[in-house]
Amino acid sequence: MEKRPAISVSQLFCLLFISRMVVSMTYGNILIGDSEIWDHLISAPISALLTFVILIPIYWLFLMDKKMNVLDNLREVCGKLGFWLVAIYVFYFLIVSVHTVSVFEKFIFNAINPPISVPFLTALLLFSSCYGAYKGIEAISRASGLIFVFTVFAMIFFLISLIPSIEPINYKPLMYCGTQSVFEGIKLLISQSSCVPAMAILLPMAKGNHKKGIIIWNMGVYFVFVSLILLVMGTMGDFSQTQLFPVYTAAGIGKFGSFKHLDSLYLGIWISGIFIKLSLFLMLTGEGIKKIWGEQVRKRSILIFGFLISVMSFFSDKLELLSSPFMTSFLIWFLIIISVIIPLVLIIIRRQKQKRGAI
Amino acid sequence: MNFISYLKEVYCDKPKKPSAPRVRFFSTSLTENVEFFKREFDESADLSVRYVRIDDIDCAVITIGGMVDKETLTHSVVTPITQSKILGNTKKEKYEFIRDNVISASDQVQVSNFQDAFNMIMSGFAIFAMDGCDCMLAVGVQGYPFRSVSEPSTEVIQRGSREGFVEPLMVNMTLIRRRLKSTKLKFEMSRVGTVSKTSVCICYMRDKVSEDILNKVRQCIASVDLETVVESGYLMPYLEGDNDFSLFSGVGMTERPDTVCGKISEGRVAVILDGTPNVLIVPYLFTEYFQHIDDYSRHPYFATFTRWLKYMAFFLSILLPGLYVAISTFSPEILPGPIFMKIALAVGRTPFSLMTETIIIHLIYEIMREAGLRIPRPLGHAVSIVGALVIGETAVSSGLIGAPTLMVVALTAISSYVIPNLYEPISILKFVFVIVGGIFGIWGIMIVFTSVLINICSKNSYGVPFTSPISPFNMFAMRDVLVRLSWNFLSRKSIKVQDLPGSEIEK
Repeated sequence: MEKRPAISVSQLFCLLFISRMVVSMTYGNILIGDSEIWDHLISAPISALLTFVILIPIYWLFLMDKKMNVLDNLREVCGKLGFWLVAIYVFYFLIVSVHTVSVFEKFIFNAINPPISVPFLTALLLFSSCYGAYKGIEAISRASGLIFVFTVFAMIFFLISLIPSIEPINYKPLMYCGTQSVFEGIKLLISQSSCVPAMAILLPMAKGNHKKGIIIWNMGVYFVFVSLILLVMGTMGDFSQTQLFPVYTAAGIGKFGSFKHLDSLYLGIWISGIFIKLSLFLMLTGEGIKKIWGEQVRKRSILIFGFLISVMSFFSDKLELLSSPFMTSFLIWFLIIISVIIPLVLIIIRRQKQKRGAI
Repeated sequence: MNFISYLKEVYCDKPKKPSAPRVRFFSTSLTENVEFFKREFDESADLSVRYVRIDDIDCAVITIGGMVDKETLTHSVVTPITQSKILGNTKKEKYEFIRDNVISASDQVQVSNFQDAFNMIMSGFAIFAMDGCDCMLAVGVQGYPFRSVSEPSTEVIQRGSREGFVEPLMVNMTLIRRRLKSTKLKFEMSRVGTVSKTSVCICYMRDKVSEDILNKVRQCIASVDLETVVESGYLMPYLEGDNDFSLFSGVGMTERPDTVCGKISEGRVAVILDGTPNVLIVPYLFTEYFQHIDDYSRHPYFATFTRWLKYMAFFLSILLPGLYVAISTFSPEILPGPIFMKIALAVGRTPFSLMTETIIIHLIYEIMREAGLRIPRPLGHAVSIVGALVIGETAVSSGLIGAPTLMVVALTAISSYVIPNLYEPISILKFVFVIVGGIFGIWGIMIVFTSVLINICSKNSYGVPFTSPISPFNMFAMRDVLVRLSWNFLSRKSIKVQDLPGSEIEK
């Protein structure tokens, strides 16, 4: 078995936290459609519990052999079929990368509308992310450790700047329009949990207390999500429902002493987060390719995928489809297959093989 | 050969190492030996052979003119051998008598081949040769002129020793030994450069250094395939180890013996090259660029303050021009109204775009800086006056350059000198950020900044993460990174470089 890069559990979960935060920061009309954002306050704790449940097969598989990730298991246990199953993971990570780029483009187009060429900016982002992916998990996780610190400080800054603008009257009763939004929120939050399949590959790379890391990460992610909803709703009320990116709008409202226009701070953290997430998922795509075709192809594949996504970004109409609610169902089923079903099947096969003494 | 093959040959194929020269041993004939010396040096003017006769035996003292102290040579070699009574029956016995009883110099090495003898005389030794003997005596009578120990101009401090390294290796070794009177301090000598055969010394504390790091340093030095090595900068690419492209170096450089002592006490290895006052230190981490020997003699609170200033200056110097261009061009709403008005007014009066203007001033500044470095000192003031008048006054008043841009460039230039060791990456990165900021705005700057972060984070210096102990994080090791705690706290436990978080080194 090849030498694996080693990172600490805290680095891993900083990396996953940032990757998940990117989703929370762009949470809004563009993702949720007509669903009530306020009701997602109930969806969040339920989703947190469900995330724990979804993580059980991955963690169990990891406990069976702490040196092997799901791709190694597929290669060892499933023989030639393993190649095809690895390809499914590669496809998922690619979809997540494309999805992330499409959200980036939508955000830049709709929220900022800068006087620059967005496809070229996307190309720069992808090229840089390919570099990050090429450098590997150690570089990405170390960088994410630094960005994590800035993210935490920025979050505190947002909190302090928005608290004076909170109007209690904006907090309306929960589930006022029924439970539909809660269910939709759960579906959406789970479908956006792309970090869960990532863990199936990343857990063996990390040293330390994984269980503690998973618990803190999951609780932290949903705690921040709930805090953002409370802040956004408290400051903007139902107006937030009309915003494509309400967190960004709220950041523009915030004031702290003579500090105004905190949206630029938001932008800084968000773009760094997008970069880290894209680098991570391109790297994971490369890991899958490495399992199929070897190390040399891995390096080339990162560039090829980066280029492909970059080309796809020019056809923004197609990408808009990817960032629409249409994707939610597709992503959620995909996630369940690769995070629950495949690991469970692997556990069963491994157990049987262990009993026969084949492993 | 086609072009691709040619490129491959030049860049990919490793050049063949020249095979080691065949060792030629001395003959018992003095005439033959001296002739060989003369032939090898091609009768070079500085080769000096002084013949003496001792009890009817021909002897010679061979030296390189200017490399030896003639007074020491006379008192410890020539006078004793010519005036003493030499005991012994055979030539060999007489040679041994001279070696053991007559020559009074304390530094003596017996050599048996020409290669060793050449190295010795070119290091300032005198070679004593006797007819009938197949070995010679190298006597240490070095006396070449060298610069006296003085304060290094590149690392000026407010408190502490004013001594800096000088060119001769032995003097530099002494400067370190005087500060670390420990038997654990070890110097290991070797030579680099197939032609220059420059002495290089690796210096470390035996009880602190990791064997892994030490072996890597030895391997790196052994891999040097240069013909001549005249400055420690020649060794840097070899000591960097990996071929990963990075603007930042994992090899430190200092001219201060106290800095070297501090570094090797933390398990690092110093590489001292003969003929240069710049001593290299490995492994060298990103946070070390912001540490200075002065920090440790100041009050902790002030040292912490200056350290924060250095970090701020670094980020200011790489990001300020780029952000100025990006914000003024694409996101002026971020700026307070009055500042925006001033910039808009200045931009409106100048013929160039803000990005072009910033690049032009930066280029002019860099040209002036280079000129200031190379120009003869008496002309230095002239350059300053021309620079101040041409750029500071005329360019602005003629409307070619905006005053806010000039101010940003000046602030950037001053900030970049706060961390002089990082000047090289800073000067490149600020151009990159200006270009990216001018094309992609602050969004592009954020993307490229994160790429630079990845570049720094991906670097390892001898198995230690370049960004350690910030990321991977270690709270205890941070006591001398963003803050400098008092010596009472620092002395509680020393952290060796191989113990830093994320280190892959075998302890």
